[in-house]
Amino acid sequence: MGFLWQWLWYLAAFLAGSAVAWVIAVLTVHRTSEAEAIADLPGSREIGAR
Amino acid sequence: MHDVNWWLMTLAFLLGLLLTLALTIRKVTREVPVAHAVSAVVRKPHLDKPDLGKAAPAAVAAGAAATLHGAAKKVEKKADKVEKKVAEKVEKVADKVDKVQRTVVEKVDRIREGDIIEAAPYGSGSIRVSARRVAPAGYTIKGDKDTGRYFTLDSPEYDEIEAEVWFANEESAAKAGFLRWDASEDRMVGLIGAGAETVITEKHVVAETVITEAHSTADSSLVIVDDGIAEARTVIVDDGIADSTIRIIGAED
Repeated sequence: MGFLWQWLWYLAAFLAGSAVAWVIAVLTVHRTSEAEAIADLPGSREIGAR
Repeated sequence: MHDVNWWLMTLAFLLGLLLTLALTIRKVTREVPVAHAVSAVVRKPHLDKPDLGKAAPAAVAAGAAATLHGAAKKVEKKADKVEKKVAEKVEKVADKVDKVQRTVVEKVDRIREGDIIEAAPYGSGSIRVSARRVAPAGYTIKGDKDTGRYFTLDSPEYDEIEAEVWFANEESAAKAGFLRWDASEDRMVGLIGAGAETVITEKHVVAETVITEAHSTADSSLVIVDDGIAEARTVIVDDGIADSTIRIIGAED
């Protein structure tokens, strides 16, 4: 039983690390709109049309 | 929590952190839409959220079609260019061949220039040589037996005429019975004897000209008069009418 509990703690630690990573990602990477995305890559449509 | 190995706990925490970060955060790659059709499908106005599940295959198909269309156009343009280039080259080669042919003919003529066939076929001042385009020395006037005309250097047809005989000057050509290239068709025939007593005094080459003052004692009803023109116009004169009036009934031009 003690063995199972130990693995549950390790799993919880893994999930805690994953949650921290998710928070970092959400805070650092902002959601962007289509117009902004196009504006960030100027000339891409013209290249695609060629 | 007593039996937990804290090193392993830390390792699990770090593994969770790193794996999640690696799976969620990635460097942006520059992706280019294949064609306008792709964005048009994705941005349908009645769809609040683009149905990528349905749009994606259509977009890919449209993109592929657009790519193929573009490639076909490029190939077509290249083919056109190649065709034009080939046509230009063929034309150039044809020109070159033509030039070479001309020079060869001229050279052959020059080589044969001194090859005299007949020294004075029409009296002094005339010569017949094998060269028909390049004038032999001293003889610049071309004589054409078929038309009975001679061509001076100021004639526009001079270069095209193939001379059967060459004359030193216009007088020699005129003596030989040749007409100047720009002379009128009309000419005096002069006195032409056809039989013992038949004399044709004057006639035009043009048909239906009546010759009046011709007297004939010849019995033959048909007299063929050759007017000596190099074109070999043959005039048939019929004296069937009484009083020996001779009428030209036909003249070949």
